[in-house]
Amino acid sequence: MKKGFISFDLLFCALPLLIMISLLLNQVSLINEAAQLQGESVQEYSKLLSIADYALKQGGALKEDQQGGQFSGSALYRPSVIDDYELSQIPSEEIRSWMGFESLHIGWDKGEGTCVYRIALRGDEVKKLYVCGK
Amino acid sequence: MKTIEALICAFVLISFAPLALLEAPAPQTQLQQYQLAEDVWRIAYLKGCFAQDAPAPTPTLAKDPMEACLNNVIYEIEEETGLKIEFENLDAAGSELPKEGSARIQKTILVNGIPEVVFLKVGG
Repeated sequence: MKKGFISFDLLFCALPLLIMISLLLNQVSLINEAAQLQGESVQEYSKLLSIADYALKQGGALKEDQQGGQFSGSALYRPSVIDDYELSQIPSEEIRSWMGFESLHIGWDKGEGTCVYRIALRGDEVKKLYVCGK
Repeated sequence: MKTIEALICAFVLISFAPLALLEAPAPQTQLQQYQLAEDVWRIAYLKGCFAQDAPAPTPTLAKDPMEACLNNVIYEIEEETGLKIEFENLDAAGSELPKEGSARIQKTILVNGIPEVVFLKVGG
């Protein structure tokens, strides 16, 4: 009778224990998933900032002073002075592939996905240079 | 038996703690703000605001054309981006001042041939 009573008690104790263990495993899984998503989001943003930095300082930058000495200095590149032709020559498809994006857009208008921008001169006009990717 | 139950209960409760610690990381807006501050400085430089012409007869006059140029640049950038810009040591700022915690960079300019430290603040 006593052994039977102990078994009955154990049975009732085991059920909440199993539920708690299952909840614990589920919780760990959710935390891992959240951490992974956050890491990916930060990584994606950092990549876009890097691409924007390249586009602004070299990729899309004016290659020679075509403004007749309007700007100071005599460097080969004019960072922050964006030439539309040079911008169109940026190998977006290669960069998209290297960085692991599904799509990548570099230009004066916003594209799809997460966007970052830098401030540049288009001729004499202050404009936002967008880099968008997902 | 009760000890095992208590231990597992404590374990489950502790497992919720990492969820509270797992805050969404700042999306690196601070880094982008510093980059935008550098861009503002670069645009002001390209527009010739810091060009060293012949020194003005009095120190104040040397700053006035620069400040006028900077205010024009700030207006243009503000119109395009909505950023709040302020050159702290100079009389050059946008319609709204940047809040505390905005990106702040230090630069050196020449005023009448004398180096002067300038702080540029840029905020969203």
